[in-house]
Parts: sequence; C-alpha cells; structure tokens
Amino acid sequence: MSPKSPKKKARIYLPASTLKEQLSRPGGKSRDEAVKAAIAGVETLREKSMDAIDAAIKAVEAVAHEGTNGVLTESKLHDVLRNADEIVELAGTFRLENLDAAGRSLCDLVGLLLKTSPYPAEPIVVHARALRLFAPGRPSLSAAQTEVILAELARFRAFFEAKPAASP
Amino acid sequence: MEKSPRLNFNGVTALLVEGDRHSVSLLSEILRRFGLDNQYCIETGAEAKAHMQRVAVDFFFCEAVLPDMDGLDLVRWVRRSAPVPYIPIVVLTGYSRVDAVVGARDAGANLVVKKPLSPQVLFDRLAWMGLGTRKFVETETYVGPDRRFKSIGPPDGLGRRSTDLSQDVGEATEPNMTQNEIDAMMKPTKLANI
Repeated sequence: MSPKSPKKKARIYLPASTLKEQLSRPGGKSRDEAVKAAIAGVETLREKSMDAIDAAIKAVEAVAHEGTNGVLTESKLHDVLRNADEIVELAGTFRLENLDAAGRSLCDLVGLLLKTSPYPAEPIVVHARALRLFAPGRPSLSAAQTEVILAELARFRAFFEAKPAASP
Repeated sequence: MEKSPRLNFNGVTALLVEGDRHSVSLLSEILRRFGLDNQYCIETGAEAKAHMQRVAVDFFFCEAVLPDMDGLDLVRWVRRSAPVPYIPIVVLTGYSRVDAVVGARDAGANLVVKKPLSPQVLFDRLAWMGLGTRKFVETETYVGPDRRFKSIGPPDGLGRRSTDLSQDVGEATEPNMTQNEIDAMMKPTKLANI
C-alpha cells in the first residue's frame, strides 16, 4: 500500500479587496435609477435583437430541413439547442411571451431527444414552424390559435418524455 | 422599509466572457447603464486567461458554455491560477443549461444568473457580492467563496422577497416573557387519554 500524501489543510480567509469601498463612495445610482436606465438601454437594442431572433429561427429551420431520411445528428441537435437558447433569451428580454414559450418548448424537446436515438427531425420542423408563426413582425394570432399551437408542441414533448431513453 | 443601496461603479472594472455577441451586448448595455463603463468583452476562454494575467478586474462574468472551453473550467482556472483568484464571479446560463447551477457553485462561482437577464436581479446580485463580506475557502477539492450561508443570510435590505424581515424589528410592544414562562412553554406535558 502506497503511503498517503499529507492532506492539505483548508485555508479560510477574508480576501483583501477595496470593492466595497469603491461601490460605497458618494454618488452612483440607486437601484431604481440604475434599473430604469438599464431598461431604457436594453430597449435601444430592440431592433438588433429582433434581427438576431430572425437569424436564430432561420438557423433552426435550416437544421430541421437538413436531416437525412428525417433523422438529425447529435451535433445538429446541439446547434438547434444553442439557437433555441438564444431565442429564449431575447424573447424573454423583450417580453415576446409566445415566442418565449415555443423556444422553451424546443429547448426541452431537444433535451429529451438527446436521450433517444435516432434523432427525428419532424418535431424540430414543427417547432421551427411555431417559432416562425410567433416571430416578431408576424401578424398576431388569436388566443385560441396560440393555445392550439402550444398544445401541439406540448404533445411532442409528452411523447418523447414517455419514450424510454436509448441504452448507452 | 427596504433599504436601496446606491452603487458607485465609477472606476470599477468588469470582464465579460461570452461567445454570443447579442448576449454580451445586452449584458454590457445593462452594466453600462448601471454606471459600470470599464468593461472588457472577450469571446473565448483562452483570451480571458491571457487577459487576466495582464489586467486585474473587479467583476468577472462568464457564460457557462464558451466557444473554446467549458465556462466552468475557466472559473476553476481563475480560482486556482489567476493572479487575483477571489474576484466575484457570476456565471450566466441559458435556459437549457440549468444543470450548470450546481457545477458552477462547485467550480467556485459566487453566483449563477439565468438568462434572460433582468436588470433588477443583476443589480441586486452585484450589490450583494460587492457590499457583502464573504470569506474565501481554499481546500484540495474546492477553491472559492464560502458557501455556508445559514448563519448570516444576505446583507440587510437585500432579501429575496419583499416580505423578508429586515433586521430592524422596532420597539417591543409588550413586556418580555420571563424565563419561567418560556420554560413552561417548552416543558413536555402528558396528554390526557381520550
């Protein structure tokens, strides 16, 4: 049996930092002032962000239709996930609720698909269509239409949730 | 009444490591409007390491997934190898990376913030990290801020909910109970058989 190396002792200390003093200097902004200014600042990025949402949806659409015999690769699913994450972030920031819901549904779906094999493209195609319908600049849908679309997306998730995971 | 701290970010520096340029634009704009103008925006973990060897920063924001490496590996590197290992680190995660929360905590991050970013949440977190006093722990398996909160809680006025009690409980409205009265309340008593 090899001799055990001596265990390093834990060191606990208060780091020397001037950050607290810097932040507490007179001046600066109160929470309300800072938040109000930040919300106005985010609003200046709206146009660019809407373009970014469009680009992300296009990327999802492109991947969805790239599947060979209706099957995607794992790396393509990760591409979808990255774009869906971006859609959720931007839709959440600008309060595009339906797009946010469809984006989250796509993230959840990809998480489920990654546990199965092969990876079917069809659920991604349907989610891409939903994203496009909820995209900014599109005619707004009625509450009933929105409900039907989101319910369909939920059905896909429920199906793959019930599907047994692929064995490693 | 909840105290609202004023924060003066003038002269404070932040390093933003994020592969997605739209995300970094949003974060950068929010911080700039808070008054934190001195920002370095970097896309990759390798660039961030090189930058930190040269320049000290006060806050470090890092995406959980970077183009060239796992963001949590970068956090571990900062804690173990950077010239200033104890800087406040915020890890940003997307919706699909909620699982990164535990990993980020164990890597030594001070906080994990889920995107989309809320200016309110971000301001509160920066106030909590910047104004609070948190010890630093170095062990064989963990280097980072002390993760034990039970006895201290968040700084006064920075509770998570509006209903959180402040430390100021006001004047007593009734005389204090005597020790005998308190003991009587704690004393085990036999219940009568029904």
